[in-house]
Amino acid sequence: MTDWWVGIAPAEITVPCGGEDHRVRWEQGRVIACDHGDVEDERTLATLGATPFACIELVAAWERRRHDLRVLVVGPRGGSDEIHVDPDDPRAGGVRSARRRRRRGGGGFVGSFATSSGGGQLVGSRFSHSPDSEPDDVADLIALVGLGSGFGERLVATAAAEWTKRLRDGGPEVAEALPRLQAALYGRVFAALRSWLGDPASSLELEMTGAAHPRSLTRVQGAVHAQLPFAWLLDVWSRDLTTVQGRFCLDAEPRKTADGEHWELETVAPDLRTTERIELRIRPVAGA
Amino acid sequence: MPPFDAELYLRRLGEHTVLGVTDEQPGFSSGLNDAATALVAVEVITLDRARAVLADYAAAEAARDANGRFLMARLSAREPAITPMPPAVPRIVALGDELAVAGWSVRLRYVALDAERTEISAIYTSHAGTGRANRRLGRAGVPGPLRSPVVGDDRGTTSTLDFQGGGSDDRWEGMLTADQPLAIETAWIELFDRRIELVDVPVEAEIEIEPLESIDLAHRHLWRRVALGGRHFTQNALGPATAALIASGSLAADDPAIELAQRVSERVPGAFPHRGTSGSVRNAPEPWRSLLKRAGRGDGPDGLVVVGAVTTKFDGHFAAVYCLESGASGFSVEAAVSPPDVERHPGNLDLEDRSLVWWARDDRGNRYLGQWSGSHRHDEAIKTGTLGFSPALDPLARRLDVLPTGLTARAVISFPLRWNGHAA
Repeated sequence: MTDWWVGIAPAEITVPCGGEDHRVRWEQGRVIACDHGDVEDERTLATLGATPFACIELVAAWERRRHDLRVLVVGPRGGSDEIHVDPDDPRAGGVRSARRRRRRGGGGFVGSFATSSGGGQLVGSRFSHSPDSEPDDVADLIALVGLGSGFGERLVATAAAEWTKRLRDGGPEVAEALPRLQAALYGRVFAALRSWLGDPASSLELEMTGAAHPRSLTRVQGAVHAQLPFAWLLDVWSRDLTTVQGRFCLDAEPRKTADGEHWELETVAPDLRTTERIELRIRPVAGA
Repeated sequence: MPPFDAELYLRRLGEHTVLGVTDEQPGFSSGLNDAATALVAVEVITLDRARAVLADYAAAEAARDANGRFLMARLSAREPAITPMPPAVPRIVALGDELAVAGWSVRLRYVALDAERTEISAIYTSHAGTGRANRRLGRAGVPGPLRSPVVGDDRGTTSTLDFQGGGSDDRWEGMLTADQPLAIETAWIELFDRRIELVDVPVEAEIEIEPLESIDLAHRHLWRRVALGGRHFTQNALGPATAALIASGSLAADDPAIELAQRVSERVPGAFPHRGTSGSVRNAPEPWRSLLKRAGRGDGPDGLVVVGAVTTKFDGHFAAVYCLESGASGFSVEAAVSPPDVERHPGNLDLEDRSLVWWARDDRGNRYLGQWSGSHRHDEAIKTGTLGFSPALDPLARRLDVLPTGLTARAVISFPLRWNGHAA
């Protein structure tokens, strides 16, 4: 099975930490404090010295949210949806200059939100070790999804990966989570559709199907009817593949080959009848 | 068709709010709130589950809009479990005195005295009359001598009054609150160099508690929404609640009550937003038919009636009516309620739909509807303030029943309209 993060480009922000600008990097499904050693060691040191490291707190806050369903509610939808973090608001989590790049409305592809560095900056992290009140907890979450440079999208992807797995494996928590999962899928499919079709008045009927069910997008009596699994969030949305070459992407299957990543996309044209397959290949630039 | 999933329905609405699909003002989610309240009312979702959905989307809005942060703060603040408490009934004495002070006419309406507080209701009218009518709250524009006068009683206590109210450059209406209470039993007060005798009149109010006729939950909720007032910033006040009730199967899409309620809501006198329409609605049920009958009339009598009545517990509430003041276009009632009613402002949430609907009826078959128009004091358990009633009181009415109405029962606070004092 392919790792869930394949195709999602690395991203990086700078974080003022201990009087210096440090790099925090998202790569292969993990957030890494590039200028620190082992996170647990650093946290122990910080506790002893009573000086928390912003980078370390950010990484810890990220890890706490991997399974948090509210990430799917609060996090970005794509399209015209934008996160605003008010730098003067104490709930802003200390994020001052974080800017979330607006995602492209159509024709996006892997890496379109992959600002490699410097897109966001964190001043004086206030990510709590363990938020002990609901407002603090939500403020932490908002600060994370508002980090900028595609970190919000990657946090959604992280939570989507976790819940795709739980849906596949089953478990007592899945039934309770279903309305949130369905709404998370609905909002992002709808955002993509409105942007793709250029019709803000369009309406969507979404049926969240099982992973093996055929995926489809049709028009039924004026409304767009979608049959998609929750995994679409991970397979397609997380990789910024919602629309490719003017087509809506229903599925994206990655394959590792000797010369890079190879993708097969199942798409539907704006007439909502014509389905086509698109093949994409990502290869490292020689000598880079 | 899959069974109705109320949580999913609300979450889809929440997604629409996040994506700006609705015409809601960002950050207030009032459509989502109305839908959630409707679904709680017809018992297709629990209060906790609905609250969790609203909290989720308040957080989503908080990440996108400053108003969302305001809403989130409200939702995050856990509402304490309020034990209803009977409001105290102060000694209320109608005044009706009119004084001239520093070029202003000061009309004193009544004084309320209890162990903790002394309040005097007053209207200031400028003799100059600038004609400017910029409404504002507070006291910044109130002339100095009227802003903080000193009041005294027959025990030698003196106290500085603080004016709080609203008005224009040439007319202010509000409450003067003493910084320390006067003696409850004082025979007179001195204010603006005048001694004003306090003459009590016997309270003649009768109080009964009546169960309400049983009505299905969806219709009950629909008509309560009409009575409690429309949502701000939208012309489709009942839309989200009605859509939720239909989607849940609680209301048939072709139920005639839907259109009727919408038409009535557009004509309720004193409703906000005002649509400039008034008059009767064909087939409107009672009490709406009687309410609309006198809409737009401006023949209400001028005067004040001291009531001073507090109910026993009904429908989980205590209610009190202190006094009534009538003018040409309507009348106001100083009242208190515990637990506090929720005023219909953007961002306010009454998910439990527990606020009372304040009806009134007179001995001539007319109906009146009251809306809170401000609080004088508001502690955790008791709200005290002014209810503005519309339409104007029938000048031929001799008796009035104020009917604070809950979900299952109402109180009937009945009193004769014996007028004290007259408006300027």
